[in-house]
Amino acid sequence: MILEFKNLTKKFGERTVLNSIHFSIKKSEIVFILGQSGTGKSVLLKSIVGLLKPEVGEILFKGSNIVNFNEMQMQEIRKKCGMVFQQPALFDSLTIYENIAYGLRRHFKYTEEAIQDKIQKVLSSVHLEQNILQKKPQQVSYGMQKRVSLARTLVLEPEILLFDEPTTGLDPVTTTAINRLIKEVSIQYKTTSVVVSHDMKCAMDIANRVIFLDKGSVIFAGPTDEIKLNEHPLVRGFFQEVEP
Amino acid sequence: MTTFLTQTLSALPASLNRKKQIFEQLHFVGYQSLFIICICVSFAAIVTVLESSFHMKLVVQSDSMVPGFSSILILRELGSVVTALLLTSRVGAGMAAELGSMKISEQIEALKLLGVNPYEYLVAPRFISSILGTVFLVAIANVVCLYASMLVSSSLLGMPGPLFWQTMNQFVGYKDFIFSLIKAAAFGSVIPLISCYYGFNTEMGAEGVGQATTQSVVVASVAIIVIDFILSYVFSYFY
Amino acid sequence: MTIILKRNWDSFFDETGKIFLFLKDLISLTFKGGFESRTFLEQLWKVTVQSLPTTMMAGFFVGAVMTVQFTLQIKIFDALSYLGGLATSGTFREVGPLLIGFMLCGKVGAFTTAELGTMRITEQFDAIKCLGSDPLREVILPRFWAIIFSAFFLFVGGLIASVFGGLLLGVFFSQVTMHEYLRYIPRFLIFPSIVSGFLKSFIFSFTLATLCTFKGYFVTGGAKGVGQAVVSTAVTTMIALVFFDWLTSYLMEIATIIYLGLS
Repeated sequence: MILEFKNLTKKFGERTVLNSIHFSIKKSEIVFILGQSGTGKSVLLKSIVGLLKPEVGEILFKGSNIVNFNEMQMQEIRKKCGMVFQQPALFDSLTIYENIAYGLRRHFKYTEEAIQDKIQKVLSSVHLEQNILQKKPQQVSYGMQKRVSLARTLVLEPEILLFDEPTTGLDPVTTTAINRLIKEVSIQYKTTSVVVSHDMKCAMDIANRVIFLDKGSVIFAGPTDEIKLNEHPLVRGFFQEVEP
Repeated sequence: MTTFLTQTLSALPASLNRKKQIFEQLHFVGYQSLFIICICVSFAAIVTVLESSFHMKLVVQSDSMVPGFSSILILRELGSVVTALLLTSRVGAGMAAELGSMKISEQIEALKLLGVNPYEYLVAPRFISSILGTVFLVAIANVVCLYASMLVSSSLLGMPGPLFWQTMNQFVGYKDFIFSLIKAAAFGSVIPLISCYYGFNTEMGAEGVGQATTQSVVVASVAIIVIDFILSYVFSYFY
Repeated sequence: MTIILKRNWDSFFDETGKIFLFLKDLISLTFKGGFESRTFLEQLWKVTVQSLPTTMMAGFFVGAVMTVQFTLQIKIFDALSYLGGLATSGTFREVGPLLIGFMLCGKVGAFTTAELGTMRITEQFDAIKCLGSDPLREVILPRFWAIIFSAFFLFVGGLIASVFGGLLLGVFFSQVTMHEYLRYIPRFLIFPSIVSGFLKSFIFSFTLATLCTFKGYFVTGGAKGVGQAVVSTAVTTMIALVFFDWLTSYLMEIATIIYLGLS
């Protein structure tokens, strides 16, 4: 178990977003967290890297509870859990090269040659050309920005990759490409991947396991081939999207 | 900008029937800003009295002229300009942000498809109610400001209220009040035009609304300061 | 009515408390020595150059208006030779800083809020955290100090422009010779007045920097939220400026009495 959630609860004011979440993620599997919009999927992901603090419960990373870590301790976790945001979230004032090098310069102390090497390597993993490195993020297409964003996280060689709705708002072709990329890099970099999404089809394609959230609670957790046996109306609804 | 202006002006007569929108906007421009503006001009009045007293001490070594000089400054400049600049941020920026959000969520296009002229439905009511609201607010702001400066001079400079009123009347008259309302009308018409223009031309994307709002505040404030100068210059021949 | 008032009152104190906590974080971070001097200089240059023309133009017209008004007042007493001194001192002490400050609320304050708000909603601050840095230290702190310094420069630039605006109108509108206009400036623009103008400018810059970074950093609610935050920055800053204008004038009044008593 690389990541475990125990009794996790998060409230925004009166509204309970996560209600006693309980599940665990094994090493080097690809887990999809599915559910309708606004059911606390992204909140769950952001709690792992300490961007949000849950009120109750524990998040165990390799057996140690990280909920009450301070910012210093959290930085160690963030080295190992790379987050890819819903938007590319690239820094407009920096070149793409500097964007990718950003985390390397802050988390680690590499020489300039080592940084260059790592960027070359990661660039070919996400299928980007050399010549974009000196461009600014606004000068390349949205799909490319998503890839740069992935490269920026990947270059840190994290143990867990967290994807927040990686394909929302993309066209079908780019969606397929990004999904394939998620699977490729997960294998190549031997990472555990947690993907928050509402795309049932790609979950069936690339996930080992799927977790359904509804109104802040887990309603289904299991391998993809067990989904069609489940009776919950929401799970059925999602499933009918792929096999009507 | 010119097409925007002609579109708005040609939509004016038809929009007079849209009483609901006009009253909604009037409530927003006038009533909801009243409290803040009264507080701000009261503070400005105190400062004006303090500063006039300082200058009068330098020139004539007495406070007897303070009512006259501060009331001139309030009626001719501060009352209308401070009010207008506050409205630029509260109302103008508010309109730009609102219309900008409508633009990027494609509500303005939706209105067009429903056969509603957005100039008639959105811009013209804002234009009308902003002029009315600003004139009304400046009138009140002037009165509040003069009253506050009277209170301040009686408590800080030890000048009794009736004396203040008497001295003030030697310096200012209804003409000044009317001129400040004309200024108000000019400012009140500039604010919605600029903000709605920037709101309508909001670019898509995350930074669009913020940029449109910022632009509208900057352009409207500069416009107000310049218009104020022009009008003051013109009015100076009528005193 | 009382309920609305009470709710506004509560949220006012809530917000003020948050602003002071934010300010405390920024100041303590500054002393901890996490200062990004490169970003600071970049921002300082950018903000100053971007806003200088607009600010000087506004200052010019403010000075011009003040001369027109003072001319009308002084004419009655046949004391036009005092015009330069009075108009300059009046602009420098009160009207100048306040109106230029209003101008900067839009040009610098609203602009910064929009920029930071956009970074917030495109998750750039979260990304900075995940990539091993602190957005407060890396982005907010240099901007905060850069705005304080450049707004101060801008105020000074605007005030200088206002003197020229006043002079120009004095010569062309009031038919006072340049020599006569300038002659009384040193007598009227006494030392406390200059201190007052600069002190106001500094306090205004500080207020502006605090409010716009605060409002921008804590934006929520997408592109619409950025728009609302920009409006809120402009309104809050203007009200704060009027309040601090009063406070500074009041304190300077006392200080001036002490100064004049001593000399």
